[in-house]
Amino acid sequence: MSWSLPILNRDRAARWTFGFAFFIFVYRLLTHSLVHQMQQPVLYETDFDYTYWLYHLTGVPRLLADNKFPAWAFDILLLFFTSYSWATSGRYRWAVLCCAIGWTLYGLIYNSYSHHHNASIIGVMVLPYAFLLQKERKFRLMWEGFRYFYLYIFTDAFIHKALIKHSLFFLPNGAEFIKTNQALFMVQHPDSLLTELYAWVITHPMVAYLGFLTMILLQGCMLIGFFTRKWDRWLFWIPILFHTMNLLFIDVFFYELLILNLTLLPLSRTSDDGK
Amino acid sequence: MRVQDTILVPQIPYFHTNSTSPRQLAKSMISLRSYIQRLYLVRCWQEYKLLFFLAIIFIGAVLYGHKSSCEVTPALVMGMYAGREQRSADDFLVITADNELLDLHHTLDEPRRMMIYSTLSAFYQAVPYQGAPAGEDPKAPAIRELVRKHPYMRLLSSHAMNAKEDYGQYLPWLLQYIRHSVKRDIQHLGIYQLHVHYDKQNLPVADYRKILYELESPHTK
Repeated sequence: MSWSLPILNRDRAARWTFGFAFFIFVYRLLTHSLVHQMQQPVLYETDFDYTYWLYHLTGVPRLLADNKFPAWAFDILLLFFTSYSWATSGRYRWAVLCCAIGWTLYGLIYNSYSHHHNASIIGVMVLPYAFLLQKERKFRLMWEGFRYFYLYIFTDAFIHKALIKHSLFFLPNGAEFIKTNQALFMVQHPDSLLTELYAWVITHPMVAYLGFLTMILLQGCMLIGFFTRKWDRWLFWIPILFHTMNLLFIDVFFYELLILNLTLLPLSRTSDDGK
Repeated sequence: MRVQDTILVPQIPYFHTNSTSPRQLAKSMISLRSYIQRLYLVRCWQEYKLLFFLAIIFIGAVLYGHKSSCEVTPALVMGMYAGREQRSADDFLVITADNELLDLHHTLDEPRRMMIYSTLSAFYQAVPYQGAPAGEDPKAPAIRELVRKHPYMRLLSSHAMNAKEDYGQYLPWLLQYIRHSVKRDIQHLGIYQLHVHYDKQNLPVADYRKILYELESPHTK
């Protein structure tokens, strides 16, 4: 096909990354999940995740989330550094560093106090760190590393489902995923068109399984990215399709993770090769 | 634009295995060297050693996570949704605000829903009914066992769980959060367990609901 994806350079990558982060901030604001909106939560979940254990050991989450003033200050500063890094294309390392640390802390705080270690926020927690590197060659290596990280997220899920737990070959799984995630919605909204759609898919388990199989195989396709970049223009669309189907059928919102889709766009060199 | 194919695992070069010619052998060695130099980790080692070590730590954390089921964010283990289970019934927690169902069904509302329902589910697992003497984090026994086996984990795990007394403050917080997040002056909060079974066609059917907790507004201020 003649169309191609937009080409990034470092400046444009910074604009799009911090622009995306800005939209995540607005989305979080509208869904009452910024730190100052949490109303000083009391219970947290660290799971069996040593990063969270260490984080709560430092006392930082309590300091930020337990008091109104620090919580407001944190959110305002997060917005400021994100906007500033966007406006300056990530050229000021101190602003990028503050922005990156801010999003890391925010992700850990939200996941802790929402009792759900949501992987969708992981993209904005890590990607801004790439712009700490001023030299082109180092930046490109780091950016490439995040590309592999993104590919790993999908590939690992595929390997678990196909090779370790073999859930890929469990025929009822398609209907099971929809059933267990949408049961409450179906019971509470019996007249909704979506309920009719879910009921039809659940009562046609082969259709549900084929949908499930397609989604898992799409995850598996991301494995190709480890061997070549030439397919990135196609791989770029897989997460978008995957998350849209998840949103429609599984009641999971993963669009925030699409910030890492930027790493699948071609990256051109600037004139300075950073030597 | 032509995308330069610098990749993690490049195509393995062709070897003239049946050739004894020194020239062919040298050619093969050169292509092998070029192959190794194109590997991502090798390029990291050559150009940016800090990133190389970070990548190695990440890979180590991923392997450890898969072996032990203990994650080290951002080295995630993505296999959590890979179950093989057919359910015949489920229990859901539902909330009524002033006797009206708190309906946050839209997927776009996920962060707020998590703050309400995911925390409530965790609270329910620790304090299953109102009037329970105190809550305990469900993972407490596992952490105690971990510390017994590996005493050096004592410090790291010291803040991994909520204090028992924190559970008593949860329901007032929940009411306050819901009041602010739905922007309604809610006076009464009812929390129910809704039992659902799946019929022969696998469709959900609501059976009954039982009250778990009730809360009146004065608790908040």
